Amino acid sequence: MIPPSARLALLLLAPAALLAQPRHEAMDYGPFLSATYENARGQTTLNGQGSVANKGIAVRHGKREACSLFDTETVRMAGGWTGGWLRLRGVTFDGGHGPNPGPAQGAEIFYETNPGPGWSQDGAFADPRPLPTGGDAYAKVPLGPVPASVAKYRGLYLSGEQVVFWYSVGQAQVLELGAVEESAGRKVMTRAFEVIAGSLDAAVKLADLPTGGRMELRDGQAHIHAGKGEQVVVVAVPGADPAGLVIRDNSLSLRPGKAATFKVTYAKAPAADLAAAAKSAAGSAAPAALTPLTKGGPGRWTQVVELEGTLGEVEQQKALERLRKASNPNPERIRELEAAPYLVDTIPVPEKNPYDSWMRVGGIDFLEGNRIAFSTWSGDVWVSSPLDATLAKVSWRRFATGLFHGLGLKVINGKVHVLGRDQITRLSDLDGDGEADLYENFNNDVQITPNFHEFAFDLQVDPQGNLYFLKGGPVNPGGRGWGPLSPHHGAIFRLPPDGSRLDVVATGIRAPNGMGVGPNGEVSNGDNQGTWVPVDYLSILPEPGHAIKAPHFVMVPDLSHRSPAPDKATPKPLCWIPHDVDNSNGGQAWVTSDRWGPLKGRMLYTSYGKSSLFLVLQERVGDVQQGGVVKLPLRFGSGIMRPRFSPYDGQLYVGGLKGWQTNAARDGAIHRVRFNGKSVTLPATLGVTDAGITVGFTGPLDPASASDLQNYALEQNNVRWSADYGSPELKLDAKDAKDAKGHGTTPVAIRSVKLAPDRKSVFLEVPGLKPVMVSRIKLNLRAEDGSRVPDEICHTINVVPPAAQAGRDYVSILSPAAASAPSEGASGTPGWILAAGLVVAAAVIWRIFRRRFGCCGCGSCSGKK
Amino acid sequence: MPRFRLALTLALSLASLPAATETGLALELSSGGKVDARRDRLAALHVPAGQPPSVFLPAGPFKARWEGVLVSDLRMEVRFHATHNGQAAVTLNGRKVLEGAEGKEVTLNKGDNSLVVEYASPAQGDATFRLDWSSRAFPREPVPPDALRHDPAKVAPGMALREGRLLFAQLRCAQCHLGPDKVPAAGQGMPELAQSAPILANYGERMREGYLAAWIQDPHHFRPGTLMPRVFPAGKDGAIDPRAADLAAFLVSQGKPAPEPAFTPEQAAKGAALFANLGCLACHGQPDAPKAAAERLPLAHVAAKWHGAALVDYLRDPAKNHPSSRMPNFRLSLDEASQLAAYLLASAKGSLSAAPKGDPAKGAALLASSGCLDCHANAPVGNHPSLADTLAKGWDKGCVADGPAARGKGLDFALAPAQIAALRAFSKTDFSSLRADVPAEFALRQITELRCVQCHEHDGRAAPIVGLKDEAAALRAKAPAPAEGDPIPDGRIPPLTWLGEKLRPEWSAAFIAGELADKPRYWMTHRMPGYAAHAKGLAEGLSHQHGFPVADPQAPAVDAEAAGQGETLLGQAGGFNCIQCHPVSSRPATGAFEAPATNLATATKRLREPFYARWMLAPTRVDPLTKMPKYADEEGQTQLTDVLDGEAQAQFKALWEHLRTVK
Repeated sequence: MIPPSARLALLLLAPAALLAQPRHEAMDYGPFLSATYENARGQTTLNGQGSVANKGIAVRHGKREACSLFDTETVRMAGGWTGGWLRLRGVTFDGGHGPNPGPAQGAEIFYETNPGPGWSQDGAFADPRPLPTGGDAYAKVPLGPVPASVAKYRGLYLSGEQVVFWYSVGQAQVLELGAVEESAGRKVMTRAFEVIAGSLDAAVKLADLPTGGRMELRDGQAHIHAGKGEQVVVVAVPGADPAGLVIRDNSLSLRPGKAATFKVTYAKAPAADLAAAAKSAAGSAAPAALTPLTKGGPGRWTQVVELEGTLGEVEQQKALERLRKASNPNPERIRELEAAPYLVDTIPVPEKNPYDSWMRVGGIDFLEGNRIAFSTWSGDVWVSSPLDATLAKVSWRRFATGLFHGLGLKVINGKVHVLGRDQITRLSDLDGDGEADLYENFNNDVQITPNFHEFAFDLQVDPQGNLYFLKGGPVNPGGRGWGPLSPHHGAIFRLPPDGSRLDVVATGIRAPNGMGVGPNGEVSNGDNQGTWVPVDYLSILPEPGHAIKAPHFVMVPDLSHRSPAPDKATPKPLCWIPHDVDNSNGGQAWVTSDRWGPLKGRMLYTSYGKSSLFLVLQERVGDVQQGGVVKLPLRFGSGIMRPRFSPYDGQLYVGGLKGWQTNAARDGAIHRVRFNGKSVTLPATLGVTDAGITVGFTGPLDPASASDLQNYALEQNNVRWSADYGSPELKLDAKDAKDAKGHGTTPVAIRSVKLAPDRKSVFLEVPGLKPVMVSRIKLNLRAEDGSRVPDEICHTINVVPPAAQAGRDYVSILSPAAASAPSEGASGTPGWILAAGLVVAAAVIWRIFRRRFGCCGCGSCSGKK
Repeated sequence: MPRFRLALTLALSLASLPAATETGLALELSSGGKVDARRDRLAALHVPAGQPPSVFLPAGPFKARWEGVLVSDLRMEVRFHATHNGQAAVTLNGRKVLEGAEGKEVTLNKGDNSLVVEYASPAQGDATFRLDWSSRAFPREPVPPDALRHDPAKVAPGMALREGRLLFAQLRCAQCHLGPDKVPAAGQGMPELAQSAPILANYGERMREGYLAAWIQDPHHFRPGTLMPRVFPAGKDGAIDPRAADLAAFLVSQGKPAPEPAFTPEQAAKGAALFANLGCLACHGQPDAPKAAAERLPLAHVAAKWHGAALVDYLRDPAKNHPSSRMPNFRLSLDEASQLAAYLLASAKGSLSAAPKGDPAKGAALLASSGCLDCHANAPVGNHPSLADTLAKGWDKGCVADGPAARGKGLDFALAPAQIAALRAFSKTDFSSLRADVPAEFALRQITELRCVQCHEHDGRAAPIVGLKDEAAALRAKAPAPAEGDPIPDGRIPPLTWLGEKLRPEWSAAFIAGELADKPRYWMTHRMPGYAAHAKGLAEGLSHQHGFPVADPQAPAVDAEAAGQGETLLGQAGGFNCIQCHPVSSRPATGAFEAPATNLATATKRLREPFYARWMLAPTRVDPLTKMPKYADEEGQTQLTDVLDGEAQAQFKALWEHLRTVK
């Protein structure tokens, strides 16, 4: 931890530092930066030509002195300029909603190429990508990568500060290096190529005239007079046959022929100095092989940041001291804190680091030896030293940089895979120096537009090794409605283990922030309030093996511009979550550990908006999922959104960040939620019938409090699924949202309460219970050990089976009995055996029942519709 | 608005209703050996030195006793806190749970808990009382009105007296029935006594003769609840009395209309959108609505009533010819007023009964003889019985008769039976209440009179305007769609519930009066209109309702060290990143969704510090629908553990100190 004196100094300096340089400017992004780029005229791929790119990689030359911009979708060098690197605008940089980065202000543009394939096919540069279909709401430009048969981006190698792009063109494998050289007293921009396999048969695009002007061939060189022609750019092609230079339709290209290595040189001068420019263009260094740059190279991020973690016991003691010192000490709260079974340890992230890297944690996973790898929203990956129980020493090293929003990270076969907005990148450390040298394009088939809000989130793997992630819709800067659409907006994707394909498995998601994949391949997602999302929800896709039909949930676009309109039936997610309980949810995790108390097999979900962790209570009636959430009494240091169990210590780790609409106050945080063996009494199961609700707990309740009907209340409301931004709460008898008097919730009478003999479940008698979107069970209960039980369960009732069928036609995911059996981790008793047995028994009963009766639910999710 | 108060009055008169059905508490006040009772929203009051606690009581030391139930949705532990400068006690379910300032932890039952709150004022000086509560689930806050219920029967007599008193003032009884011994001179005592009827000038420029004749004949037909009485008896089948036509003819002989403006369909379409966007539709039905919706004043006869240019002028300054008009000033531009007029005139299709040809000369004579000038010129010329005479005879004939038979020469105010009963109850008092003014009660009345609650959520009651979204969307449909950056329709109008605690009265008075150039929520199309004549009293009264004096205690000098820490806490790095949603002075919000939050440069001028402090700790306790995040946990800690030991209150105080320095 930072010593107190330094803390004070930092505190006093902070405002001054803020004034000095915004942190997005101060950050060292490394040799390149991936993003969506505007051109120098502020246009995007949707409305502009020239150096626009949805998936650009801007190579930094020198100390932000020049830039070569490569577009991985079109496999084209989109532009090159000197006079600065980038103007860093947009959501991850200055927080702006809308703009994207572009060339530095006052940049000297040497060349630009228009969006479209960077390499020719059959002698032409025609764009083979189809336009999105679906109506006026869709983008009017092609989206996604060009077909691999034309060209395919494979990845990039780093060697020191040099960035070598690797891609295929037809059957050929090509390396390309953009650079700035000094030639005849003038800075020239160059592109060096090496064909490392196959035969290169295509032409490479060298320049277009997006601002008008003219170009001509003379003496084996090309002269480009862009715009008004005050400047001339002379293009030479050392190592290639100048006869390969072609100008067609104001577009300059080169068919390099058989050369294994060649270069393209761009020299710029005032039109009157054409001869000087020609001399500089011709005089650059001879082309050389690029292969030596693909073996790694000198490290860039050699400094290690050493920190000390904080164990939950320390925070616990501090809180106890505060409570004891209070003017009205609350003995119950003190007892509760002392008996807490889960403690939150803090794994300090390197907030202060030599690179001014912005520590907004977007994804976490574990490397051999319980080392954490995390990615950041600003595109970094950092790796820790092995974490032990004490956290006395936590060292961090920067492993990778320049990624396009690292909002998901998964270690697969020992390699870090990072989900960016542009692609899944597989990182390899070729020379074993602790830094990634190869950034492979694992898959970049996802379509994106320049919209600021269509983030890609999370990265999960199912037991078969398939990968999953999800992507939001292009929410307008105001929050309502959508920008131009792609079929990939608001979707969950699945990729086979080799990443060779990208399939949409569900659509209709608005603005999620995370998902989960369970131990049996269960795929879940959350979503956040806005157009067509009345309040947050948590959803589980139909069980694995079922054909997943799109749309599974809701369609992202609103009715006003989607044709045909989406199904108007209100969807039935697992649970709607009221706005005051969670305003912005994160990802989910399933408890897979035997060492985390009595919750194995259950689902957890994170709230980014409330910096909170929730336990999910699940129930299934026919094919219909339903359930609820309970907030766990734990504190976190930021907007947690990535929960993961470590396979090395069996404890839960969570990471998250501060963006917007969150109560997070720290940029980012990583915590370990550690089970300490004390007794756990949490609501864990729900069983709904038309006679009432059975709530199961993981431990025995205090009979006096649990038998008292006054300690329970039930409050219900619906919400309206519409194109409005969110919905008011609607009383059960409200006709619609127009009725102002119908706004609010309806108290529902509980006729009686019955405590089970084992004191681990209560039955709340509510005759005539009906389906409802939001149902809140309020509790004022104590566990047998005197500690408090969480005071509210928020759940959704999609279907209400008759009480007579209970036990036969519905399954609380893990029964209360199984849940309350002590787990191995808690007491040494192999509780999981009992639990697993009950799950199997329940599943068998379920299958028999379903074969006989079919779905007793709404029918809309059963495939019978 | 006699009819709009009908529901309340009826409810109050139904003493047989089960107990504890109404929001708020029954407040019994006693001073000088007298007792009075009324409904109160909260267990809170502020009575400045020398002022009475109730208009029906003398000034001086007093006792207050609030009674009702506190409703809890389940059994829970709470603690009461009282801020006061006298003696105070709280009794819950028959047990004394607070004496002095701090109570012990007590358990609330699920459902109703009987609550008695007692306060005795100091012998002299200001009297202040506020009741708060806290629990493990929420920090200290005033006990909210929607958790309180009372039995309306307990306050029915006192509320009926108030109803009668208000009717006496608003119907301007004392204009005709003079009673200088009982009714104070203009500008003294009850503010509503100073309300005036419209000025009878320039009608020829403004209104059409046919409408005026029909209006004079039967004002209640055109505007249910109007204070204007019917002067001439109802004709057969709605026939208009020739005297009404004569009066109309005289009125329109005063001035000539300006040429009719040539409004365009485009203007009308924009006007329809404005009607929705500004919030006009909260109080007025659409001009072409087949039937006036309940509680929304009809506009079907606007075209029959107004000359176009005059309507534009009226919309821009409704008080010009009627200083007491409840129609507020929306500070419309000429374009906006023209668009609204275009829409109203094009869509109002209400027809009129044909009036006989009026004689202006006869009308001029009638103006005096039929009593118009009594109210419209504050010049009683009629030969009316004095107030004392009417009281001596009893209020069961004349204007307050039960029906036409007993009305005699009295005017027809279309009074409901409960209103007549209220007037009669008031007649039994000594009328000294007319000389008194209690701002807290004035504000309570004006919230209803000015129809604030049509747009603002209040004490847990949703505002009707939120149910009009579809109607608003249909009105907007024909107008050009708003461009990016234009104000947003259907934004959330701030609830009124806590206004008296939240806003500094000098700021809210200026804001309600429409005197502030900067609109705090400038991104909303809804526009808070100006109520210049009522603003000061409203601001003062709301403040008193919440137990706060108008003037805040003198703030100490800015704590520079705290302000420095506050600057960091405001920012992105090491702070709460307030600047992401909130503009600060001229610096825009860095990344606001939909719309920015309020400009923090005005926060310390706008907000009371105690309100700010509790708002910061638990924003959704104040407004469950707010987007403002809750940074403090239940232990009062924030995530910023390395600043001020993570103590939320200290951090928020530091932020406040910094905001005090922002220009």
